[in-house]
Formats: sequence, structure tokens, C-alpha cells
Amino acid sequence: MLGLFRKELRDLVRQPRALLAALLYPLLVVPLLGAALDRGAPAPPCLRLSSDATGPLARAVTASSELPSCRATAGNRLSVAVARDAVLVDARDWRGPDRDLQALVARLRGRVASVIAERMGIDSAAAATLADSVRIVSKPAPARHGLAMVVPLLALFLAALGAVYPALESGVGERETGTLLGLLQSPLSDAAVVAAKAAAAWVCACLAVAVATAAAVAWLMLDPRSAAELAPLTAGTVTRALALVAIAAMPLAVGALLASLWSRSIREAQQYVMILVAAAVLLAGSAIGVAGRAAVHLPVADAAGALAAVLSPERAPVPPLAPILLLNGALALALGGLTVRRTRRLRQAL
Amino acid sequence: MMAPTTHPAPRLGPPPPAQPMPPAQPMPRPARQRAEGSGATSPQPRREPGGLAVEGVAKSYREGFVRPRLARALRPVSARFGQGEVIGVVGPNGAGKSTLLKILSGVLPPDTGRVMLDGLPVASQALRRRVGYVSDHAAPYPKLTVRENILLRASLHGVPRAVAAARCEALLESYCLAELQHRAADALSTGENQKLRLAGALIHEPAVLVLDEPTTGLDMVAACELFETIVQLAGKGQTLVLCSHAAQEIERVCNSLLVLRAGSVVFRGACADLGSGASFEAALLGLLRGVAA
Repeated sequence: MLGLFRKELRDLVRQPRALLAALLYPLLVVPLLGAALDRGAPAPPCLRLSSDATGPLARAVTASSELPSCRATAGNRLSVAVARDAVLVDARDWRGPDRDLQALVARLRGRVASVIAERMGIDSAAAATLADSVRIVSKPAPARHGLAMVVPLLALFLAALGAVYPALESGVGERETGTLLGLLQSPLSDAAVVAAKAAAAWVCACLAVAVATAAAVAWLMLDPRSAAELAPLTAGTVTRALALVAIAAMPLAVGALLASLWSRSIREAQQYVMILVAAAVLLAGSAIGVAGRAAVHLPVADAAGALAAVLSPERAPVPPLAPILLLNGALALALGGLTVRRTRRLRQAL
Repeated sequence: MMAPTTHPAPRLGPPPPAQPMPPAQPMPRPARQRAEGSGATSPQPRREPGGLAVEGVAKSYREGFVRPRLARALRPVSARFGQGEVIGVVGPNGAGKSTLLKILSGVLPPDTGRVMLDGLPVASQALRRRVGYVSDHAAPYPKLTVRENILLRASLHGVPRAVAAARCEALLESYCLAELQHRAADALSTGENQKLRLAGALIHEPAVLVLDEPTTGLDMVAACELFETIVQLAGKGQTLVLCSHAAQEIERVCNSLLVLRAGSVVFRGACADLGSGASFEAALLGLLRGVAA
């Protein structure tokens, strides 16, 4: 079985189509699509009231900048102005996440009374009133949200592509080239044959997703504003993100292989795959989206924290992970069951 | 169209599945008759116990999607292929030859009946360990080299690596593939491809070698070379089951014959029973035409 698995990978590596789909395609498409989306991003409406970069409030802001994103991004800046009845914060140049901005403003609100009273000679009662009025008058300029949102979708699409082509080649492709008959004459059981093929298709899907995600993240890091939204790229973060994506890619690989085993020609298999992928995208896509967001958005240090963060709607406004993974699991089981059933009839079409 | 011949076939009609298996009849052709035939020296069959046998095997294929029906490819068939015997399986298109050969090689499980090896019933998976299968429809992997294809077969059959490497070298030399061992299979000619299939089927040293129309698509020279190889194998005592449409090939190599009609056995006996040379061809054609009629 291991020999067959190795053969599947070696066979796929020698096929230009599989290499193109799994490796070259994401490397080409991600930057091109990113550039296209980036060009069309409109500048947000913004009202700059005044700048007080050297004043006491700015220093207060600097002193409050203890959040990880503030430290990580050197260019983070808030413009704070004292109007007649309010303290106005211009966050147009803020490059950190919204959540950190809100936390920072909350801290500012806590300190502004004493700072204003001390440095600006306002009595404490008036300063307290002023502190309550601290508000953000302009929102942070969005970074490449278009591309950031499209990263998971690209990962999904390329996972599908990476899973489909190898699965088609190793399933119905073998039937078309006539190698399946020889393979089924070996003493391997049908289940072992299909399992080896599924494993190879899954490995290729994971490889495609890894390359696509890496290309997308590299593209995001070219721009400091987008880079500010990225999680620290530690080995743990990357590993967890890839693990999530790999789980989500499993039904795709199994589904594509099932369609491949069901068909008598690659054309027929592609038609099945279109139907299956459309259904799988609805479920697996969401999970891959969650995983993609977890990979690029969340500065988390542990798996439990990642899960909690993903499930938190204010941090990642995406569908909750647990039901999606459950649905994915159900889908994988259903497809796997059908595959097992099909495997029993594998020899009938010889 | 010729009228159906009245050639007296020694055994006509399908044997009932419940009846005991007829004994193998690897009747060696007399030397005189061989000389009158193709002129080639057919191997003498070894009358040894064991060998391969089928008992009442039948196979149907499902056809259609909206209104599925079962198309019967093989009616209950019983036959025995003795050890060292070279059996030709002949029949018109759709007679069930390939299905029978696939069942014999363990590729297809029979719907009913059983396959026996050395007198014992054997499951398909175990059967595949002991049988080599060469078919025009079983292609080698096109992107793998000749050597990789052979070693892959060895790996699939569980042959240890060192043993496989040694056998591979020997087979490459025997079948003149040594110079082509690093060439991808899709760059080989049809004849070289067929040699590769044969080498791959022999890597695990099977007890029985099943050849399904091995000369299809080959030119005369390649077909002749391949048959020389098959004759050599038969000479070494290898049990061979050979399916072919060419009467001359059958007569040259085989010492017994199994004729199928519409999934049933209509003749099982020695080739010599049908005569030799032109009379053999005429008798065989008569059998087949009688089938068609």
C-alpha cells in the first residue's frame, strides 16, 4: 500500500497538469488577483480635525500604546484634538485591528481626565466631562481587505483544484489509460487501493493549499498596512492554520476521488466534480474561510485561544467553527461511505 | 458464408455446474501431427496434480441506469487447467473469454462458483498472488520507466526489494529491455510495451500465467518474438492460459483448447482432437461458425 502511495505521488509529480494546478497556478494567480483587487480599493471618507502630534494627549496616547499591535507597527498613529466640547480622535492612520483601537480609546478615556486637568489647566469636573466625550471621529483606513477576504476563497478554490486533478488522474485517469486493470490484478485489496489514492489526493490538496496560502500571505506582507493585520507568523500559527485547512480539504479530496471512481471518463468525472464541489464549497468553504482568517488575522498563541477567537464574532465575523467542522466531518463521512460502497463495485466496470 | 460445419466436437454444450469437474485433458499432440502443423515445437504438458480450476463460475454485468438489466457474460462454467499445461481459450467476440480469464487471474470475482488452485478453493486476493495476468487492456504506467514499472509490480505483490531487484535484472535481460530500462513506458513501441507487461506479470514468479490476446496490435515480427517468449515459458513448465483469435498461434503454442460460446463451454479437449494445420483451422472455424449459427 505504501508502494502504491509512493507511486501515486511520483506519477503525479511527473504530470505537468498536476504540477500546474497544485503549485504554479496559485503562485501566478494570487499576486495577479491581489493587484487587481488592490487597485480598486476606494479611499475611505475621513475628516481630519486637527493634529496634535507633540501635545500632551499625543503623549498620553503613546504612553497608552501597550497593545501588541501598537508595538508591532512602528507607523501607528492617532491624531487627537480637543474641541470645544469633545476630545476627537482621528484614527485614519491607525494600522492595527479595530479591537485594539477600541481598547486604546478606552484607556485614553480613562487617562484623559487627569492628563487634561494636569497639562491643560482644566478643572477636574470639566476634565471628567471632557473625558466622557472622547470618541473616534474617523475610522481606520481599511487595508487590503479585499485581498484579505479573498485569501480564504483562493485557498478553497486551489484546494479544490489541487484535490480534483490528482484524484481524477489517479481514479478515472487510470481507467482511461488502462493501468487500473493491472493494478487490480495485484494482491492489494480494493479498499487499500482506494485508500492509497485518497491519501495521495489529500496530500496534493494540502500542498496546493499551503502554496496558495503562503503566496497570499507573502503578498499581504508586501504592504505594511496589510501586514499589520497578519498574525505573527510563528511555526505554531502556521502549523495550526495548515492543520485546519488540511481537515477542511479532506472532503474535497475524498469527494473528487469518489466522482472519479464513479465515472468512466475524465469528462464524466468533471461533471460529477462540478456538482460535488459546488456542494462541498458551501460547507468546506466556510471552514477553510475560518481557517484562512485564523491564519492571517488572529494573533493567537495557542489552539484553544485560536478557537475562542474564531468563535468570537467581534474578532472574526465569520460563521462559527464548530458546526462547520461538524458538517465537514459529516460530509467527509458521507462521501467516504459512498466511496466504500463504490469501492465494492470497483471491478464491475472493468 | 459457409454452412455450419458438422465437425464432431468431442464435448459440446456447457457442463452443468453441479456436476463434478471434468478432468484436465492435456493431451500431447503426436510428433507426426505437430510436424504437419505449424512446424513449431509445442511444449509437452506435464501431467502433475494441482493446477487451476473453476467450478461453476458465472458472471453477469449490470447494464443501463434507468432500467438496469443483467447481461450474462459467463454461464456456469467448469474447467480445469492442469499444471504445466498450455491452454488456448477461443471463442467469438462476446463469448466470455476475457471474463473467464479475469476470473482466473482474480481480477473479477465470480457471481457464483469458485476458483480452485492446487485443489483448494482460493479467494480472489490470494489468487492474484499466484497468477500473472497480461492483457492488452492492462497497460503499464506511462510516466514510469520500464524499471520502475516492473519494480512497482514487485512491490504490489510484496516481493522483497533485494529479490525484486535481482529478478528485475534477469527479466530485463531476458526480454531485451535492459537498454530501455530508464525509458518511460509511453515512449516504448507496442511490442516493447507488451514485453514490459510480460516481465511485470512474471516478477512475482506466478504459478499460472494468463495471457489475454497478447498479440493484439503487434506487427508480425513483434508477435513472432512474443510467441517465441511464450513458447520458452511453456517449455519451462509454466502453466499458461492463452486467449487468442489466431488459430495458428493457438495451434502452435497450446496443447489443449477451451472453446466458449455465449458464455458456455462448447469444447474442451486436446488441440490434436481437432486435427492439425489446415484441418485444425477448419475444425475450429467450424466450431465457431456452428456457434454463430
